[in-house]
Amino acid sequence: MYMRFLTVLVTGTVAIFCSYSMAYAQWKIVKKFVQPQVHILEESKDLLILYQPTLGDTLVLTRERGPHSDIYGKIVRKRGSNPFRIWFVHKNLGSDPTRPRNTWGRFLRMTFLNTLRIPDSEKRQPPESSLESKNHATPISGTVSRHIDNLEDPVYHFTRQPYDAACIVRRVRRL
Amino acid sequence: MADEFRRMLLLYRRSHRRFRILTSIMAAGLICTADPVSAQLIDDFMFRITNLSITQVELAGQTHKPDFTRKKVEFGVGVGPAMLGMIYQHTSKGPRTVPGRPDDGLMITGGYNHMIHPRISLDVYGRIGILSRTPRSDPLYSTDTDIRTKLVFSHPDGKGFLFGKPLFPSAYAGFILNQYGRFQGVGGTGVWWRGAGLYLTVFRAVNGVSDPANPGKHGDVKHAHLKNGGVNLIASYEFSDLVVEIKKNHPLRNGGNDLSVVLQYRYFFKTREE
Repeated sequence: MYMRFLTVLVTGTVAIFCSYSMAYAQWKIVKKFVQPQVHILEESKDLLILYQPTLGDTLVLTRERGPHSDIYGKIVRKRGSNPFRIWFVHKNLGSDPTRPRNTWGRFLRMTFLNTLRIPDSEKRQPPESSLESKNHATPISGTVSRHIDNLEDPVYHFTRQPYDAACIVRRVRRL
Repeated sequence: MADEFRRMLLLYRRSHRRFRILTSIMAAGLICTADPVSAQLIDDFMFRITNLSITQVELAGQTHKPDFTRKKVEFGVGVGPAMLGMIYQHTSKGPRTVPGRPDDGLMITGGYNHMIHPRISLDVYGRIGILSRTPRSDPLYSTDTDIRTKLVFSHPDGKGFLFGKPLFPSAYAGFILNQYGRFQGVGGTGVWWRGAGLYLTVFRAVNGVSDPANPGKHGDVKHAHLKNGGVNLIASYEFSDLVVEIKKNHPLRNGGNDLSVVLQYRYFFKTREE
């Protein structure tokens, strides 16, 4: 009886894990925090595109860091715990002055937004002029430009390749 | 006031040998880790205190009531997927247990964790006993030398929600092999939610001594070679870097009906998130 119990316990647990679909698993948790008025434009294994009709804006979530990500996930291992996914803010979103933090809440609930992290390498950097300036009253973040959003900039096309639904939606919105 | 404290400390040091051992371990640990920490080689350190007490033991179908406590102090440092540490263990027996002599033991520990897949990890952990005065035939031997391997299944995004917060289930299967060749199969399952964890594990030895009174050829190591089995129920709660854990073992076949209370502190010098 004891062996049977052990066998059932182990095989049952492994079966539950194996039968659980690998694809889109990460979006299930994200979609719990999507605001009700937000539409899902696209959902695939690696990509989730949210559209906010009031703002007319989109938010691109990717499973891993990519050139078109606004928010991306990363599996983190910490000693003493099992691997878990953390969501990061990409510089596409974090340094975009047209999409300040207070608009993010129109897409996703604060519970999720509060867990988002901004990597040190992607935090807003003050421009050189403000570093040299002695005028501390100048808001540093307000002067940062997002050059990849400039459609005339060839870097935009490079960093946005390959074109996907997110790029197309954003381009159409801006045009 | 300061003189009085110093005098008390000196008296305590003289009368408690184990305090000196512990101080030496801590000092050596700090010295050894100071340079790697500054070089950012060490990711984290862990300090863990365990208090275990056994009030009932099942041996060959008979119930015994010993009076046994074991205190463990563990220190470990993590370097990438590997960890190294040391355990100081002190056992004591009350008047109901014979022979009654407290003992100290020292073990070196090492571990390695490899993520095969975001959902599957391989965990290897070993202990090597380096100091103990108690013979192995004593049921209260204070060091262990063994290796344990687990294949852990977990879910990085959680599965299901409880009061709006994700539940993180996990399961594992593995084995423990000790220096006397006793092979134990282990398996378990658990769930973690908002810092609180609840785990159920089962273990069973496939070889060893069934009747300690007639151990046969394993007479000298009968307790380290006990063919045991049991169920553990573990409840834990973590807040910030501190973890409190309560573990209750129930023997299904040979073993102690023990209760452990654990307090752990882990500090991460840096994270490998980015």
